[in-house]
Amino acid sequence: MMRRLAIIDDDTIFQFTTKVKIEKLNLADEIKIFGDGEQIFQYLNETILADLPSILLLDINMPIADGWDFLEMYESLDADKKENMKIYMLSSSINPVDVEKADAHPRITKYITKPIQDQVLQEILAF
Amino acid sequence: MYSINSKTELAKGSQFLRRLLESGKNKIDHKQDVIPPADTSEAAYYANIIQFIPHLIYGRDQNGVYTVVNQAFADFAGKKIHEIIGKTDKELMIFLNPDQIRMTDESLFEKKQKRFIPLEPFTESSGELYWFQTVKNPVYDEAGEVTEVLNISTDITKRVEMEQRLSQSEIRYRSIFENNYSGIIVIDKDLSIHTKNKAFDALMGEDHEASNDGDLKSYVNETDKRDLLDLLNGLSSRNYEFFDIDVQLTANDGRKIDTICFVRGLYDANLNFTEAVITFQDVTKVREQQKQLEESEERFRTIVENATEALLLLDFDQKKYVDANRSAETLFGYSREEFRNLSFGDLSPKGQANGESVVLGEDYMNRAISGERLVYEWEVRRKDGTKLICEVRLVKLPYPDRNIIRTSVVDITDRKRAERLLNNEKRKLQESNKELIDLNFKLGNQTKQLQEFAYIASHNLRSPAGNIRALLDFYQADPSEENLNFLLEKLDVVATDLMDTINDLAEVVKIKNEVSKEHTSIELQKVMEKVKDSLSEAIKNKNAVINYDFTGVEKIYGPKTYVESIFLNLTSNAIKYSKDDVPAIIDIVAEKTENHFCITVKDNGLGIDLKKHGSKLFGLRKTFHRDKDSRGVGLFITKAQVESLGGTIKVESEPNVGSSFMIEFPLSILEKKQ
Repeated sequence: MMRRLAIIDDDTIFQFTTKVKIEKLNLADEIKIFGDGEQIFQYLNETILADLPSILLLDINMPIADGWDFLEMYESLDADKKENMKIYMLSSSINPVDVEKADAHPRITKYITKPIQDQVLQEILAF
Repeated sequence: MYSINSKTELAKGSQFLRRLLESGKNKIDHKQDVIPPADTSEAAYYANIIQFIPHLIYGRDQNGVYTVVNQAFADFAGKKIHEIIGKTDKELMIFLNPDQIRMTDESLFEKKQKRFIPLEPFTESSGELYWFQTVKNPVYDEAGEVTEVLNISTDITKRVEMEQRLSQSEIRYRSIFENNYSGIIVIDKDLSIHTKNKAFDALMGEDHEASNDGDLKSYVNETDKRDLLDLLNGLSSRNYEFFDIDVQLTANDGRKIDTICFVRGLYDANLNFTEAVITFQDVTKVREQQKQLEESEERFRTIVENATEALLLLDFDQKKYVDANRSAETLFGYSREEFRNLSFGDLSPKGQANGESVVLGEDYMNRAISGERLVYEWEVRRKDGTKLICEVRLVKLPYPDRNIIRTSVVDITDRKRAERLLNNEKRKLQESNKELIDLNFKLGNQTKQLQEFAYIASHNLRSPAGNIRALLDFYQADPSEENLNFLLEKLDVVATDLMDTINDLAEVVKIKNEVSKEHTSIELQKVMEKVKDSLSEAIKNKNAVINYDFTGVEKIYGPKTYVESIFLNLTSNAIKYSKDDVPAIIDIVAEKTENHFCITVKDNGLGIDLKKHGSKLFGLRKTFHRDKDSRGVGLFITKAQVESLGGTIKVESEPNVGSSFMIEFPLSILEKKQ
């Protein structure tokens, strides 16, 4: 089975360094990069179930549609597409409002503070 | 005339009388009953006396035949003397009860004794009843036998009738006495009670049937007893015949009964004091009521007299003061007597704050008389001419036949001064309180802003820091030349980004710190001209039309750079996010409302979906339009600037229709700070 992963973040350096790190640690077979919530939503909507990523690393602060916007749109996705999908919320925000909101959100598996540690990556990317 | 003491003397007397009458017969013409010319003989003299004595003198023999009568008897019988002599009662028909008369005579013939009949009824032939007192004397012959009865009768009819009347009157008085509601007793000089009526016993709570006459001494106290005895002495010596006195009686059950006693002396025929009649009038209730009334009056008087407020009674009809209390004397400086000569106008200066004293006062008094209770402020004039501000209350008093107004006057000069001071203090306090609230609000806002700022700063600095770390990790993992070039290239981006972020944050910090430093008069018209100037290229490119009108409020006060920045940001946003196919129309309106000075910047541009983005619109690094040259800093700065000036900013927007940014400043922005 393909270990498919999506990184949703507008920070190009974060995109690049995280992708390199995951590849080096060999934690995924396929890594897709998206700049904002709208792009990933379109991709999930258009892609067949078999090709969908099973883990999303979702940033909060993004232009157009941020992490929260995406989560709202995500609700309209087909139920079987969502069934085996885990969403990790990534942010450098330590604002307790964000942390609490994320912890309370039923779709979010975990809230992770940036910068992301290798050990954390290994834990959450155990497919 | 003569006394009959013994049989012998009686016989002698009787014979003398006979001889007398017989001798007189010759001299007296019985037929004519005329007194003959003077007969100087002793017999004729006595005969005359007997003839005309007012008592009835008549004799009858054993057969009831009249042997001798005098003129008085003849007159009583209504006949002549000679018509009577030699006849019996039955023949004469003088009396209707001859048998009874005869029976009385007969007893004398038998018993041969003189008889006194104290009350003898004679019913005259006319039917009239007479009462007589009769002395019946037997007349003896030589042998000592009774030959006739000589009667001397006195008419006592009038006396009997009088006695009867007296008796009836006594019954009547007795009845009045017994049934009187007032207690009545009859006492003697030493206060022992002879008689008392039911009402007296009822008053003393005693059983009338069972009670003894008793002694008035046991009902009265020592003082009353002494007074009563003294007065009774005067009564018994007839210095006076009646008096009245207040006496407190003590009933058997201990009740105290206040009475007024009317005492009248009774005297016998010789005017000697016999007893006294006392009528008691129970005045206990009356006294109690009177006492209560007096006490209540006294209490009321004390209250009025000691009242701290000045009280004056004004006779409305005479427009004169009739009474005043002590406080009134103190307040006005007039004595009570002086008040009585004062009228209403004398206690007021000519004018009051709202008109002439006399006119206003007249109106107030008329209203008080019609029942209104008035309270008003009034300037009064004291005797020494000084004036006081007072609170006056008028109430009409319930006198039945006079129009009396109670005027209460309280000096409120001090109160007014205190009120003024208090109001000043209150105003100051309210002002400083308002300042405190404002300050608190600002502080609260600032704390919130600071916290937000800390999160934002932390977030925005963590990202580039994390990126630097990640890039270095990447290079260290594979330190090739190629990767070094890549690292440097990327570090350049991160450094620029970091620099921008730090600059943005520094800008906000500057806004928060420097807001109070610059405070100048800002002409809005000029501000907009400057804005248009700096945006001239964009305006030309977009065919933008900017309408603004500041005729309502031309000037505001504050830091000029902020105000310019706010207008510039909002205007440039409106141009930047305008539609490509339609000329941008931007309306800028300034208006003053009750509590705020408002500026609205309205465009017909792309609009924003506020449901999605509303909460993030003014956040740092928030952008909502792809492909626009936006860093997500403008509105963040604008909001910070507006808030630093004590204002708020709101937005209304609809995608593809346009947006309105509304700023509300406190009105203080229109005033130059001291």
